[in-house]
Amino acid sequence: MKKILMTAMTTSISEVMETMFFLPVEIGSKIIFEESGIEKNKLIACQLTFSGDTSGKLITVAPSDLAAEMAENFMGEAKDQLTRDHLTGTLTEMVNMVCGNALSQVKPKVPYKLGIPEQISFSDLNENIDYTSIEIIDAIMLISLIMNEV
Amino acid sequence: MSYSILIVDDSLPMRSVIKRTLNAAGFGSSEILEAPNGREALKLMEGAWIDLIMTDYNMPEMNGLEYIKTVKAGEMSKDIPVVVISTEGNDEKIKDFMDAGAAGYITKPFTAEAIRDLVVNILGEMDYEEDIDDSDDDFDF
Repeated sequence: MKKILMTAMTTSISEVMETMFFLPVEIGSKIIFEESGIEKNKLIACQLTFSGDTSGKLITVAPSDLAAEMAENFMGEAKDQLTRDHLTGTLTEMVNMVCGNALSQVKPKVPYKLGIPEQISFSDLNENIDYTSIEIIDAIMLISLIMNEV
Repeated sequence: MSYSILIVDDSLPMRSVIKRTLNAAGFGSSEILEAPNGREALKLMEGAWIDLIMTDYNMPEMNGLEYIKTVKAGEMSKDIPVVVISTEGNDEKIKDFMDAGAAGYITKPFTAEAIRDLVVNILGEMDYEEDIDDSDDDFDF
Protein backbone atom coordinates (compact mmCIF):
# COMPACT_ATOMS: atom_id res chain seq x y z
CA MET A 1 0.00 0.00 0.00
CA LYS A 2 2.82 2.40 0.84
CA LYS A 3 4.32 1.99 -2.63
CA ILE A 4 0.98 2.72 -4.34
CA LEU A 5 0.36 5.73 -2.15
CA MET A 6 3.91 7.06 -2.62
CA THR A 7 3.55 6.77 -6.40
CA ALA A 8 0.30 8.73 -6.15
CA MET A 9 2.02 11.34 -3.95
CA THR A 10 4.86 11.89 -6.44
CA THR A 11 2.40 12.08 -9.37
CA SER A 12 0.34 14.52 -7.37
CA ILE A 13 3.40 16.67 -6.58
CA SER A 14 4.10 17.05 -10.29
CA GLU A 15 0.51 18.09 -10.93
CA VAL A 16 0.31 20.50 -8.00
CA MET A 17 3.71 22.10 -8.65
CA GLU A 18 2.98 22.64 -12.32
CA THR A 19 -0.66 23.76 -11.95
CA MET A 20 -0.41 25.99 -8.89
CA PHE A 21 3.27 26.95 -8.66
CA PHE A 22 4.27 26.93 -12.34
CA LEU A 23 7.39 24.92 -11.53
CA PRO A 24 8.31 21.75 -13.42
CA VAL A 25 9.62 18.96 -11.21
CA GLU A 26 11.57 15.75 -11.60
CA ILE A 27 11.25 12.93 -9.15
CA GLY A 28 14.73 11.99 -7.93
CA SER A 29 16.16 9.17 -5.89
CA LYS A 30 15.76 8.08 -2.29
CA ILE A 31 18.18 9.90 0.00
CA ILE A 32 18.68 10.73 3.64
CA PHE A 33 18.61 14.33 4.83
CA GLU A 34 22.40 14.76 5.00
CA GLU A 35 22.72 13.91 1.30
CA SER A 36 20.29 16.62 0.24
CA GLY A 37 22.60 19.61 0.76
CA ILE A 38 19.76 21.51 2.45
CA GLU A 39 21.09 23.74 5.21
CA LYS A 40 19.50 22.97 8.57
CA ASN A 41 19.13 26.64 9.50
CA LYS A 42 17.63 27.61 6.13
CA LEU A 43 14.76 25.19 5.71
CA ILE A 44 11.04 25.02 6.17
CA ALA A 45 9.46 21.70 7.09
CA CYS A 46 5.85 20.71 7.53
CA GLN A 47 3.75 17.63 7.98
CA LEU A 48 0.19 16.50 7.41
CA THR A 49 -1.40 13.49 9.05
CA PHE A 50 -4.12 11.42 7.41
CA SER A 51 -6.30 8.59 8.62
CA GLY A 52 -8.79 6.17 7.17
CA ASP A 53 -8.31 2.56 6.19
CA THR A 54 -4.64 3.53 5.94
CA SER A 55 -3.09 6.22 8.07
CA GLY A 56 0.20 8.02 8.38
CA LYS A 57 1.78 11.36 7.60
CA LEU A 58 3.49 13.18 4.76
CA ILE A 59 6.56 15.23 5.65
CA THR A 60 8.01 17.85 3.35
CA VAL A 61 11.30 19.71 3.75
CA ALA A 62 12.27 22.58 1.48
CA PRO A 63 15.07 25.15 1.51
CA SER A 64 13.75 28.65 2.37
CA ASP A 65 14.83 29.99 -1.04
CA LEU A 66 12.72 27.40 -2.82
CA ALA A 67 9.75 28.10 -0.55
CA ALA A 68 10.14 31.80 -1.44
CA GLU A 69 10.18 30.95 -5.16
CA MET A 70 7.04 28.85 -4.71
CA ALA A 71 5.28 31.57 -2.69
CA GLU A 72 6.19 34.21 -5.27
CA ASN A 73 4.67 32.14 -8.07
CA PHE A 74 1.70 31.00 -6.01
CA MET A 75 0.66 34.35 -4.56
CA GLY A 76 1.90 36.64 -7.30
CA GLU A 77 3.79 38.74 -4.77
CA ALA A 78 7.40 39.90 -5.09
CA LYS A 79 9.81 37.98 -2.87
CA ASP A 80 10.71 41.07 -0.85
CA GLN A 81 7.05 41.44 0.12
CA LEU A 82 6.81 37.91 1.51
CA THR A 83 7.03 37.09 5.20
CA ARG A 84 8.04 33.83 6.86
CA ASP A 85 4.31 33.13 7.39
CA HIS A 86 3.73 33.38 3.64
CA LEU A 87 6.50 30.84 2.96
CA THR A 88 5.26 28.46 5.65
CA GLY A 89 1.65 28.87 4.52
CA THR A 90 2.62 28.14 0.94
CA LEU A 91 4.46 24.95 1.83
CA THR A 92 1.70 23.69 4.14
CA GLU A 93 -0.89 24.37 1.44
CA MET A 94 1.23 22.49 -1.08
CA VAL A 95 1.38 19.46 1.24
CA ASN A 96 -2.37 19.70 1.80
CA MET A 97 -3.07 19.67 -1.94
CA VAL A 98 -0.61 16.85 -2.65
CA CYS A 99 -1.89 14.59 0.10
CA GLY A 100 -5.59 15.19 -0.54
CA ASN A 101 -5.16 14.77 -4.26
CA ALA A 102 -3.18 11.54 -3.90
CA LEU A 103 -5.58 9.95 -1.40
CA SER A 104 -8.56 10.83 -3.59
CA GLN A 105 -6.93 9.22 -6.60
CA VAL A 106 -5.86 6.02 -4.84
CA LYS A 107 -9.15 5.41 -3.03
CA PRO A 108 -11.87 7.72 -4.38
CA LYS A 109 -14.69 5.79 -2.73
CA VAL A 110 -13.06 5.26 0.66
CA PRO A 111 -13.48 8.06 3.20
CA TYR A 112 -10.36 9.45 4.84
CA LYS A 113 -9.60 12.31 7.18
CA LEU A 114 -6.88 14.88 6.66
CA GLY A 115 -5.37 16.70 9.61
CA ILE A 116 -4.46 20.37 9.58
CA PRO A 117 -1.04 20.82 7.91
CA GLU A 118 1.50 22.16 10.39
CA GLN A 119 4.99 23.53 10.40
CA ILE A 120 7.59 21.43 12.21
CA SER A 121 11.11 22.32 13.28
CA PHE A 122 14.28 20.59 12.23
CA SER A 123 14.58 18.96 15.64
CA ASP A 124 11.25 17.22 14.99
CA LEU A 125 12.73 15.49 11.96
CA ASN A 126 14.30 12.08 12.18
CA GLU A 127 17.48 12.48 10.16
CA ASN A 128 17.64 8.79 9.33
CA ILE A 129 14.30 8.43 7.59
CA ASP A 130 14.26 7.92 3.85
CA TYR A 131 13.20 10.85 1.74
CA THR A 132 12.40 11.04 -1.94
CA SER A 133 14.13 13.98 -3.54
CA ILE A 134 12.08 16.27 -5.76
CA GLU A 135 14.24 18.25 -8.14
CA ILE A 136 12.86 21.69 -8.94
CA ILE A 137 15.00 23.77 -11.31
CA ASP A 138 18.25 24.10 -9.34
CA ALA A 139 16.91 23.14 -5.92
CA ILE A 140 15.83 20.00 -4.10
CA MET A 141 12.79 19.44 -1.91
CA LEU A 142 12.34 16.30 0.19
CA ILE A 143 9.22 14.30 0.90
CA SER A 144 8.73 11.31 3.12
CA LEU A 145 5.64 9.17 3.55
CA ILE A 146 5.43 7.51 6.95
CA MET A 147 2.69 4.93 7.36
CA ASN A 148 1.33 3.96 10.77
CA GLU A 149 1.65 0.30 11.59
CA VAL A 150 -1.66 -1.51 11.97
CA MET B 1 -21.28 43.76 -12.44
CA SER B 2 -19.79 44.07 -8.97
CA TYR B 3 -20.41 41.41 -6.35
CA SER B 4 -19.55 40.75 -2.75
CA ILE B 5 -17.63 37.47 -2.50
CA LEU B 6 -16.56 35.83 0.76
CA ILE B 7 -13.49 33.56 0.70
CA VAL B 8 -13.18 31.20 3.68
CA ASP B 9 -9.86 29.38 3.96
CA ASP B 10 -7.35 29.01 6.79
CA SER B 11 -4.47 29.39 4.35
CA LEU B 12 -3.51 33.03 3.76
CA PRO B 13 -1.64 32.17 0.53
CA MET B 14 -4.65 30.23 -0.77
CA ARG B 15 -7.02 33.14 -0.04
CA SER B 16 -4.60 35.34 -1.92
CA VAL B 17 -4.53 32.96 -4.90
CA ILE B 18 -8.33 32.72 -5.08
CA LYS B 19 -8.58 36.52 -4.88
CA ARG B 20 -6.03 36.89 -7.67
CA THR B 21 -7.89 34.31 -9.76
CA LEU B 22 -11.18 36.18 -9.29
CA ASN B 23 -9.47 39.39 -10.39
CA ALA B 24 -8.13 37.67 -13.50
CA ALA B 25 -11.56 36.19 -14.19
CA GLY B 26 -13.13 39.63 -14.43
CA PHE B 27 -14.36 40.06 -10.87
CA GLY B 28 -11.76 42.69 -9.97
CA SER B 29 -14.38 45.28 -9.12
CA SER B 30 -16.07 42.94 -6.66
CA GLU B 31 -15.71 43.36 -2.92
CA ILE B 32 -13.70 40.42 -1.60
CA LEU B 33 -14.12 39.51 2.07
CA GLU B 34 -11.89 36.94 3.80
CA ALA B 35 -12.18 34.68 6.84
CA PRO B 36 -9.82 31.97 8.15
CA ASN B 37 -12.54 29.50 9.21
CA GLY B 38 -16.29 28.97 9.32
CA ARG B 39 -16.78 30.54 12.71
CA GLU B 40 -15.06 33.80 11.73
CA ALA B 41 -16.95 33.77 8.43
CA LEU B 42 -20.29 33.61 10.24
CA LYS B 43 -19.29 36.62 12.37
CA LEU B 44 -18.24 38.52 9.26
CA MET B 45 -21.54 37.74 7.54
CA GLU B 46 -23.60 39.45 10.26
CA GLY B 47 -25.04 42.53 8.60
CA ALA B 48 -23.02 42.08 5.42
CA TRP B 49 -24.44 41.46 1.96
CA ILE B 50 -22.80 38.41 0.38
CA ASP B 51 -23.44 37.23 -3.20
CA LEU B 52 -21.20 34.18 -3.16
CA ILE B 53 -19.22 32.16 -0.63
CA MET B 54 -16.13 30.16 -1.61
CA THR B 55 -15.04 27.90 1.22
CA ASP B 56 -12.36 25.36 1.98
CA TYR B 57 -13.30 22.18 3.88
CA ASN B 58 -10.35 21.35 6.08
CA MET B 59 -10.15 24.26 8.54
CA PRO B 60 -9.69 24.58 12.30
CA GLU B 61 -12.50 25.92 14.54
CA MET B 62 -15.35 25.12 12.12
CA ASN B 63 -14.81 23.05 8.99
CA GLY B 64 -16.39 23.74 5.62
CA LEU B 65 -19.18 21.19 5.95
CA GLU B 66 -20.33 22.49 9.34
CA TYR B 67 -20.11 26.00 7.94
CA ILE B 68 -22.29 25.21 4.89
CA LYS B 69 -24.90 23.53 7.10
CA THR B 70 -25.01 26.60 9.35
CA VAL B 71 -25.28 28.97 6.40
CA LYS B 72 -28.07 26.92 4.83
CA ALA B 73 -29.95 26.76 8.15
CA GLY B 74 -29.97 30.55 8.49
CA GLU B 75 -33.07 32.39 7.26
CA MET B 76 -30.98 35.33 6.03
CA SER B 77 -28.17 33.27 4.51
CA LYS B 78 -29.82 30.13 3.13
CA ASP B 79 -30.02 31.47 -0.43
CA ILE B 80 -26.36 32.49 -0.68
CA PRO B 81 -24.65 30.10 -3.12
CA VAL B 82 -21.68 28.29 -1.60
CA VAL B 83 -18.83 26.83 -3.63
CA VAL B 84 -16.43 24.40 -1.98
CA ILE B 85 -12.75 24.60 -2.97
CA SER B 86 -10.95 21.72 -1.33
CA THR B 87 -8.30 19.05 -1.66
CA GLU B 88 -10.91 16.52 -0.54
CA GLY B 89 -11.90 14.92 -3.82
CA ASN B 90 -13.37 11.81 -2.21
CA ASP B 91 -16.75 10.86 -3.75
CA GLU B 92 -18.48 10.54 -0.40
CA LYS B 93 -17.21 13.91 0.82
CA ILE B 94 -18.32 15.66 -2.37
CA LYS B 95 -21.77 14.09 -1.92
CA ASP B 96 -21.83 15.40 1.66
CA PHE B 97 -21.09 18.94 0.40
CA MET B 98 -23.75 18.81 -2.28
CA ASP B 99 -26.32 17.27 0.10
CA ALA B 100 -25.60 20.10 2.54
CA GLY B 101 -26.52 22.61 -0.16
CA ALA B 102 -23.26 23.49 -1.93
CA ALA B 103 -23.79 25.00 -5.37
CA GLY B 104 -20.55 23.63 -6.75
CA TYR B 105 -17.26 21.99 -6.02
CA ILE B 106 -13.70 22.62 -7.21
CA THR B 107 -10.82 20.33 -6.34
CA LYS B 108 -7.38 21.75 -5.50
CA PRO B 109 -5.18 22.03 -7.46
CA PHE B 110 -7.43 24.08 -9.70
CA THR B 111 -7.04 26.14 -12.83
CA ALA B 112 -8.14 29.75 -13.16
CA GLU B 113 -10.59 28.58 -15.83
CA ALA B 114 -12.29 26.17 -13.42
CA ILE B 115 -12.88 28.99 -10.92
CA ARG B 116 -14.04 31.43 -13.58
CA ASP B 117 -16.44 28.98 -15.24
CA LEU B 118 -18.10 27.99 -11.98
CA VAL B 119 -18.37 31.53 -10.60
CA VAL B 120 -19.69 32.94 -13.87
CA ASN B 121 -22.17 30.10 -14.06
CA ILE B 122 -23.49 30.72 -10.53
CA LEU B 123 -23.49 34.52 -10.56
CA GLY B 124 -24.87 34.47 -14.08
CA GLU B 125 -27.76 32.36 -12.88
CA MET B 126 -28.30 34.82 -10.05
CA ASP B 127 -28.53 37.70 -12.55
CA TYR B 128 -31.08 35.72 -14.51
CA GLU B 129 -33.19 35.08 -11.44
CA GLU B 130 -32.94 38.74 -10.41
CA ASP B 131 -34.24 39.72 -13.86
CA ILE B 132 -37.26 37.49 -13.32
CA ASP B 133 -37.81 38.93 -9.83
CA ASP B 134 -37.46 42.49 -11.15
CA SER B 135 -40.43 41.95 -13.42
CA ASP B 136 -42.53 40.76 -10.49
CA ASP B 137 -44.54 43.46 -8.71
CA ASP B 138 -44.27 41.56 -5.44
CA PHE B 139 -40.51 42.15 -5.32
CA ASP B 140 -39.61 44.58 -2.59
CA PHE B 141 -37.03 45.23 0.11
